[in-house]
Amino acid sequence: MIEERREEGPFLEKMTHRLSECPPEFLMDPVINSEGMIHADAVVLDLLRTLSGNFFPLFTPCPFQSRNDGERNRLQLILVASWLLYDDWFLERSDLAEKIHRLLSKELDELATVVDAEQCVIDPDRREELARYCLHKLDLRPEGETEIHAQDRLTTLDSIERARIMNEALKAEKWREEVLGALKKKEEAVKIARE
Amino acid sequence: MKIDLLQLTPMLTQSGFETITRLKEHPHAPMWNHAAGDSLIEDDIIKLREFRKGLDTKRDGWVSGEPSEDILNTFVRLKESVPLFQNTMLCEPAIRTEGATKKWAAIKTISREDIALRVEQLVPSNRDISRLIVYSTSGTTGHFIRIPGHPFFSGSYQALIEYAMARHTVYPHFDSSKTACFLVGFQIKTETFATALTYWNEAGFAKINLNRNDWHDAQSPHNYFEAMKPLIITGDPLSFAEMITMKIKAEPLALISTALIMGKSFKSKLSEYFHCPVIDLYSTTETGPIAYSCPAGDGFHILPNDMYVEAIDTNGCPVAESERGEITITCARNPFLPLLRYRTGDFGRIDYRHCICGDPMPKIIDLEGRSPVIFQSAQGGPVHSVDISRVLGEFPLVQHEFIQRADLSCCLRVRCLREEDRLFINSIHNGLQELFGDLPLKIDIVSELANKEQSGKVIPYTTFLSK
Repeated sequence: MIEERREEGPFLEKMTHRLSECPPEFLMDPVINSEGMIHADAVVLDLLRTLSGNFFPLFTPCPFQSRNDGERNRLQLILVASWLLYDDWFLERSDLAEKIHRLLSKELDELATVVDAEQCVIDPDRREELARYCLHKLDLRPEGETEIHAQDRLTTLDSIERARIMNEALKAEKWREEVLGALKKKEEAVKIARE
Repeated sequence: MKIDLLQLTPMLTQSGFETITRLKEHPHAPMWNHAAGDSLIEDDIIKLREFRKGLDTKRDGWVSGEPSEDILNTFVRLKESVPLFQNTMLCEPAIRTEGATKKWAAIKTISREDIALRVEQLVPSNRDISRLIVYSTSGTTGHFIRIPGHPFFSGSYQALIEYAMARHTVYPHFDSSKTACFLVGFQIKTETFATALTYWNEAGFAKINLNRNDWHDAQSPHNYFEAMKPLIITGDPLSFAEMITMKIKAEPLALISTALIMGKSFKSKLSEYFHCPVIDLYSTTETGPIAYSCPAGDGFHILPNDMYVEAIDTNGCPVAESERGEITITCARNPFLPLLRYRTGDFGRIDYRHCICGDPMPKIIDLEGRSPVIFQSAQGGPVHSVDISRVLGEFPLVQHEFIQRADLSCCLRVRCLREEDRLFINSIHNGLQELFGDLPLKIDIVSELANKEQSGKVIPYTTFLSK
């Protein structure tokens, strides 16, 4: 029997169902530059204190506050993930407080550049991706799944990887155009140089 | 006009301008149809001079199946930026360990098709391509492909030619009062131009075409050669043969033959006519000069020491020392086209033994410009095209075409250098009969073998025997 390195977490379906029922308040405009409807830092702090049972020191500068409007999606994704992790299964796991803090502080940043937070609530594939992504970062796997299966499924849904591949393909195509264009241009110049 | 010349030759001075004017405006100059320059900048010249100095070093210690550490390290660095190298098994060199040869042999080879279909995957993606220059080449297929080049890479030809000439004890001195080189063609149509070569102190260079239509009158080519006195003449057997036919008088310090391989006897005739050594240069547009004819005898010494040359089998594995294989090149000197195990389509053997000429670089012997062709003798045994080349090389033939038909009969069409060379035909017949036995063999002497638009390329060996 293969020993699984990752501990079993909650059922995936329970997590995706929870995401589908995310209250609309979590998708309101996060407070940025004193404007907005919901304070992401307050939501995260509340989650972490509930998890750990007492005062929880956040990183400084606080990653859940921002003055930059471009951070809107990142903060919304943090809010949606916070809702996800406010599930009973996680609340009974105070040992995961540090990992959850790290996940919310830093490890959703890259995902936020390629996935829309709202889609993580309304789109089934993106719900599954966020749920699996969070479990993976917490060194957990969905209950009833092997590590290999869980990894395979995450890879299939991985928007970051997909975006990377697309970006590489676009870069390659742009480079191709640049090189072929330069070759053609120099060839034309040779033709013009002929009398 | 001067501004245009400066765009083509950025380091042109007043002396160089006068060199070009002298070449272009001579009363017997050809009717130029093109303009070109070396595009070299000061940084290129510094690097070229270092490159030339470096050619005298690191010429020994080459080992079959393993490129030098310098070359390997260069390509390991390039792996990051050259898409086509990224999936290869390039890795840090295992210096002279048992696994090194296997690791090298596992690296996928590339070919002309990669340049034709995906050249952008060979150009390092972190390069500024503003100085890119382009060459078109048809190779032996007749299908043109575009090769990205760089002025430094083109300029390195001069340094390499200098080295090859020095090995043949030719030491020309170049300055703006001299004509360094004529590149002579004999085609229906080709670009012709005059310029000054920065690396050679703005000595003159002209690319000319002996076709009568390129000149104002029949005597002009003779007068032009006499007036300009090029120190070097480069060309191919066709153009040299035409110079002799036209009785053009020239006494360069060296003749450099490119594009086609030359038989011993023909080379000797050229040397006699022009009173200078004839240096055969094995070179392709994609790779630049690869090897030069050994001054002491047969074969070609590998010329640049930043190039790894190997002979490989159909699986991409290096063949055993001195066995025949496809000549494959690894060299990163062209910053826009680093070549990693580039299959040339030419075949030969690599000889690592000591050569009496003193150049420790390995030699390519039995070089053939396409895959070897196997014929059949009357006794049913194989006759290799290289054996036929050895026989024909003893005679002053400009070109040849040898065909064996399905009924085993053979036909040889030859273009001789001179009318009187027809006398050799019996000797050729005897030489071939020794190889083939008592098979019908017809030899025709022709005045032309190839359409000049094909740059004189013919298929020297063809068999219609079923495999």
